[in-house]
Amino acid sequence: MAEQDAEIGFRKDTVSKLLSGSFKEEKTKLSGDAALLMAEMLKVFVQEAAVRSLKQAESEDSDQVDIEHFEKVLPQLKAAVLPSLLHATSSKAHLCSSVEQQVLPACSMVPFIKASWSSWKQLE
Amino acid sequence: MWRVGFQRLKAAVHFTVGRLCQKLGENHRRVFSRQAIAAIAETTFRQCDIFAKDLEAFARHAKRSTVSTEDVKLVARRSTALSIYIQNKSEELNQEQRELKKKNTGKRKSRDTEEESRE
Repeated sequence: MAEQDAEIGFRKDTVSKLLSGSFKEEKTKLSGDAALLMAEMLKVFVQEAAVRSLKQAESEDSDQVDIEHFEKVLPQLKAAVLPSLLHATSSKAHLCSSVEQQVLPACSMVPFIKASWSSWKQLE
Repeated sequence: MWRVGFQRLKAAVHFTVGRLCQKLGENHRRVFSRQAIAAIAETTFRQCDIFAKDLEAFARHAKRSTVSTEDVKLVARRSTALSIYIQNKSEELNQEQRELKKKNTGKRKSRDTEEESRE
């Protein structure tokens, strides 16, 4: 690719090593494309966490986004964004996630994803 | 399982998380504290462990030993918006690869015709 990658993101090899390290079986491998997609997904996850923390800080009239702000938004983030299908942390988490599905979270991912999607298109 | 690379991996995640937070903060005229960035990085790192196990389970269910983009799409399924986003990215990836192949074939052909014209 001739253009310099101005976009910040996770490196493919970092993601590969990260995920491979958690596989239970030796024979399990990660395809290159899957690693690239996971890099994208992780980026969205981080950005969502950051945006929600930021909104929390703003609602508290804080100039700085502190760990307390992140801690406050973490439960919603886990429930509404990316709960694991196979590793529910608790039954309470299950309840939360079903409620989140019906009631739109304060920061919906949709506009954010649309924004990053358009910036992706601009790279072409 | 990570052995030696563990700390380096964590550092790599932390670095990217920091940069993403910094950029976002700049757009909103706010700063992320180091602790906040570290916490987000740690959460992301731990979430990867969950993702990996889900991915492996999906691949195994499909009787594959290699995790594919289909497995990634399943993991993203919980959030509809994310699912669509990942689906589109996947298609973009395929399109890119197809175009790259065409480009390389094209280059070879044009090089051949160039040499011909010189003779």
